[in-house]
Amino acid sequence: MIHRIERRVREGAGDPVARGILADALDLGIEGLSGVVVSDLFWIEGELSADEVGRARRELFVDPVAEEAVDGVGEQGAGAGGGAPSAHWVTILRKPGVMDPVEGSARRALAELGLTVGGVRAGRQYGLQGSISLDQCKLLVRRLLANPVVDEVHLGRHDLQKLALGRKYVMERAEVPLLDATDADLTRLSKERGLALSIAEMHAIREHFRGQRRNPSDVELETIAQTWSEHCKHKTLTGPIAYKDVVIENLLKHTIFRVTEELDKDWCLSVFQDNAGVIEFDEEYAVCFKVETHNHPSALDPYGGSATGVGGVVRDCLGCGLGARPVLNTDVFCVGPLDFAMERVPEGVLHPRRVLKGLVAGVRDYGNRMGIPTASGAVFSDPRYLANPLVFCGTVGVLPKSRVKKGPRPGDLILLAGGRTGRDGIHGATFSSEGLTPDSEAASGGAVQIGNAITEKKLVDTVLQVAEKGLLSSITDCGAGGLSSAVGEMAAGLGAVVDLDRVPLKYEGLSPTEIWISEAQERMVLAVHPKHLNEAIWIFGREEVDATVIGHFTEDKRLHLRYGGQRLANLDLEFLHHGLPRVRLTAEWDAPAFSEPMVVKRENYGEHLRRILGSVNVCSKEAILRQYDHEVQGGMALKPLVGAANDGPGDAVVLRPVLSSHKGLAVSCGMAPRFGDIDPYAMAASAIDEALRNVIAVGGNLDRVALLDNFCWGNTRRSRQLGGLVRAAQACYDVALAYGAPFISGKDSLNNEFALPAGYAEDWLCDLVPAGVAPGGPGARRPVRGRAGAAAAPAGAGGVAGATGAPGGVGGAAGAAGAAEPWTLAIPPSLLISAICVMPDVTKSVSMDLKRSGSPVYLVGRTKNELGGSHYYGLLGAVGNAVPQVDAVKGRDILEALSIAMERGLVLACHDLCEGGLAVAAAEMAFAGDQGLEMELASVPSAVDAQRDDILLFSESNTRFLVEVSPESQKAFEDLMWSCLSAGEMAPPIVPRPSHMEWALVGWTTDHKRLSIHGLEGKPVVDESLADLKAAWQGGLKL
Amino acid sequence: MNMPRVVILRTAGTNCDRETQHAFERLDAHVDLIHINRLLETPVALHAYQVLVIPGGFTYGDDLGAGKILSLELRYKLADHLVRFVQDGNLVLGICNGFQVLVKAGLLPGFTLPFSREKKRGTSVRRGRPGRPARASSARGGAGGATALAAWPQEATLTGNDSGRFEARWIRLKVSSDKSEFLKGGTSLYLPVAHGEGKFVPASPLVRDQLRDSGQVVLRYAGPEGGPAGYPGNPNGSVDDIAGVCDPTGRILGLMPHPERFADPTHHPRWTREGLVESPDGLLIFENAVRYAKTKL
Repeated sequence: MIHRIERRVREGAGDPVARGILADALDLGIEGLSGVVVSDLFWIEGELSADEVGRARRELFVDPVAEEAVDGVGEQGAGAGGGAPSAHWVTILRKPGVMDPVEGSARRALAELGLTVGGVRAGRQYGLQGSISLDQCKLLVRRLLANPVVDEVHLGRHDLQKLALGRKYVMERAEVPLLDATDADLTRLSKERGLALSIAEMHAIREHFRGQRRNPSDVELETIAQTWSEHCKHKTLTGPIAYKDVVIENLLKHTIFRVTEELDKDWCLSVFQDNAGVIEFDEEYAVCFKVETHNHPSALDPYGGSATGVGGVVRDCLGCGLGARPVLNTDVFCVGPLDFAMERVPEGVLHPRRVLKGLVAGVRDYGNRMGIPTASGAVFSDPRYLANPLVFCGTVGVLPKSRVKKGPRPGDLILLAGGRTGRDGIHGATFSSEGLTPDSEAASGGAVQIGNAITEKKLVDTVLQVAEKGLLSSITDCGAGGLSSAVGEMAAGLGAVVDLDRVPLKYEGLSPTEIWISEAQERMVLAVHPKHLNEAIWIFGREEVDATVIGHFTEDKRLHLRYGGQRLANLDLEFLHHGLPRVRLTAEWDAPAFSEPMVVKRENYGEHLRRILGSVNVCSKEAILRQYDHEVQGGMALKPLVGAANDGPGDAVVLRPVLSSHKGLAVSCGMAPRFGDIDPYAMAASAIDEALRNVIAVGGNLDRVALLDNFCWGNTRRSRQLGGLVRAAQACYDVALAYGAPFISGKDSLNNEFALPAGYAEDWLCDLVPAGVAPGGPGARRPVRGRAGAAAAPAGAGGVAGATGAPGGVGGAAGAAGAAEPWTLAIPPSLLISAICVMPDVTKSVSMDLKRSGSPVYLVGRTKNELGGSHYYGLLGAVGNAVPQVDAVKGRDILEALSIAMERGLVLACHDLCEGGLAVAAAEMAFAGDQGLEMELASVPSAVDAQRDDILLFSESNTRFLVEVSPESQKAFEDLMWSCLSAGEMAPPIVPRPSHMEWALVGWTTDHKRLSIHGLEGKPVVDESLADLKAAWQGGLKL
Repeated sequence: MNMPRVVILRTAGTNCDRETQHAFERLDAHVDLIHINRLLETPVALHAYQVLVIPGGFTYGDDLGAGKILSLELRYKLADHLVRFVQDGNLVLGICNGFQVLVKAGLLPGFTLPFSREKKRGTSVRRGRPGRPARASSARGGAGGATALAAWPQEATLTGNDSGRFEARWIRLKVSSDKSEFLKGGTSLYLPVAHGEGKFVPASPLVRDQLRDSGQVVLRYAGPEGGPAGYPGNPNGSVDDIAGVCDPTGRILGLMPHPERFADPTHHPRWTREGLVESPDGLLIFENAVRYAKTKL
């Protein structure tokens, strides 16, 4: 029997959820909505008496003070609450199989009350009041209330008759006829089964099984597909690439790994082999850091996508070494323009504002529940992220140095711990390796999952106990590819036997293949010696965490899968891990030429400054940060928001991962997607420079700083896309090596392209790319009129537009033939660099807010004529060409000089110059410190060709800092700068021209609450009140 | 010297346990983190401590309302022992989620609890002896004690913030009564909050009056000049700016702000401007608890 319980906020108490919906409806242009009555619904299956249901309602479901129960589904219940009758009712439930954590909790709590029930389902009901049409109601549902990927929607006050989930699975062992398959068969097979395997790969598999004289089982084929996916194997970055006249055998090894190898730092304890990179922290502890992307799932369901993105990377950390404790989360989002016209959003795509809201809510709900501070991050906006938002989630963990090394031994048992396995997330690894299409939402719904943070929290709590007792020989997380990847990787070099029927399931009806590849969340795979098994299971059991032996490791180098006594797979692990055919790709790159803007000399640049401050990339992210519990765990020593009113933009966070020590970690990120259109090399170099600048600005150093790379790119089967990637990777090598900062971990997400639905005209796309695109762009030699698909697809790396004004980033589908292939929209080349630095003493940290009046302010680092890709040019509607470069030799001197200055306590405030250049940095420091600032552009150390007010104000040249020094430290600071940064012949008393200097005194802090910058002619070119600047900066992002 | 003994109760979704432990350990208290399942197996273990802390977090995901499910476990399974623990003169502290748990369990404001009419603390308070076996009258556990506490009404609640979202920010607090043992000597505090459901609402105007008259509202959100806080000074819309409440004996305290997050000078959001303070505000609460607990040893 099903019992229905409905609860809502008590009349008169005011429901913030309802208020939020009303406001959002107005945004959608629905003005007739006068009120919303929101109810939570619960259906309980079980033989309960009316008294028992009443008790459950009273004691569990309905808060006696703030909430009230509503009886019955009839109209009399409908009228209650909120006064006016509702015009429309909508009931929304999670689809069966999409697990809702509330349901598990409710079951457990009912058991506390002594009520045993069969199942619980939860839902939400909205009563929409006022004069709105059915169409408007449906619009509200589609745009605001429900996501068809995970929700089922019923118009009306819906009731459930049964809760049943799944049915019993009837075993069938399916063979896939491969031995005699033709190429057409192979292609069809790969497509039908969602394997994302190329024809060359299918050939390799066919040959392998021909050698075995048998067909593969479906499980075997799936296992190979998962293992060989781009997501798991990084085929592009590790495969041979023909570029210019050389063949790069393995781009990753040739660039990123090589930095680390050549630097050979003894404090790098584990790089590029474990789930995260590990560096030494102190005598006792190591720290690990991993950043993952979760782009495709987040495009379909931003909330579930970002939440499980957090969950996944936290498990990477937990599965690093023999278990690390997560201490910090980071997040970076790239989304479309938040003010994008609603009616221009293509089908199958969510509006950027909804995407961002969902992403933030997902990170918030998962990260906060896990008790991990989310404190470091950024938001970028570009029209090309519209259909393909990027979500980067990172986790820093701490583990004893003794637990860094791991490895299972033959005979160890395979213990699966954590959540149960369901049909969620099937084919995530292969799905994420392909491009998105409008149909992705329907076809790949199963790839989207809803996380349960508390299940994962319990898992972290217990795994760490098991790890501390030394009961593990290895551990890894179940991520993309599920058990197939986790066990497959752990068993490499050994062998394993797995009994799939032992895997605990959420509901009946999963086939063994589904069990094997399900990416159900919150699971870890542990290798445990049989003698430790009982203790391990006991520890898990004490805190109600499922832990089940599902097999053991062997020595026969084969992977055996069994189910119900049948043998389903007997795979050669050597073939599985090394049988992947290498495909040579071609890369090319020619510098594009963009138009330069019409620059008009102005008397005043205040308006430009305020507009840049209000842009999404620059503006205050307080609306996001305040939703994150960024101080939990009690280790945050320099918070993401700093300054007189706790709301200024800190450069990096500093935390103490070990509470009894004042040793700390500075964590930052750098990203410069706007430069990538001009040159991905400069983009990557700038991202590294920025990440390091941010670490230095808070008092970090280059002695122990490590980097992480996350490449997100368009379709790299296109040679120009790949050429851009090669250039970016080369910059990583050059710049990181010069700075002495090794890479310790990385990840790539390629194929971030969206196949546009038929009927979207080219001119529709034109607006999505940087304006002012000019003749001479990459498309110029490759005309793009007409459907692409042939090799002439115009997708320049960076999605640069072609000469005809056709949109950048738009091209034919990869390797496709024929005119029927759709246009695609590629993201701009996007490289996120994350940096982590060990700081000996967090009490030497410096924040970016100006501290007092009357102190000298220095600009360290030279300003060049580099407005290409700048925000200033963006305002002028152009991209330009002079993209900021990095001189890492000089740069290193600058970073080290500042590091020493901070160590000696000479610096009151320090802020790096990046987006918006000097003007933005000065404004941010001033309003964050509520302290006036007066500066002279004539004093700015700058190149000879940069002697123009707008260049000095807005150039985004790298390796520059604005530094406030106390008057009493002025001499010491200047002496230090002279000794570190000035050539001998220019030592005092000769006063050199600014164009020869790497640093100079450029201004003073004042008592007035204004930012005044005098131009080269001595007249003020910026003279704004701090209140106005701050208001502009704070107004950029409302969620 | 015997150290005061503090137990921090932990369960699925607890997440401020370690920093709370650290705050106590700075003050030389002995701290055990104990999972509720262990306490349910051996409830008498509770009586080996002088201070019980229910820390911040999202117990059981706060899925049916913040702190709801843990509050049921306390009501149904530990009521008897909790009552005795307080009657014995020991302290209970609920921070954030812990406050939500105590309110929903009916322990705060706790007008009708058996010890509520007890005289103000003095020599009359009975001494709790660590490790003492449970007394026969209350050691029955199960039904007897459980029914008793389950019958006590929930007199207030902590519900969704007016802003409709989770809020993490630093706020000013005024110590508005000297009734709580945890706040002795305090006048104002600067602490962070981080919660989505922190709006304190009394069940009725009567409860509201009684709270005020009894001096049990011990912490209020304060404006810059000490006046009404307004948003965001009052980050959740709590009635009467209520941020923390104690029981009639002053030995149970629940508060939404996180004192353990201002236990080190580098916790202050503006230490890079204002310098490192000697005595972080949050420590007051732990110092008082430890000092009080020492008198019980």
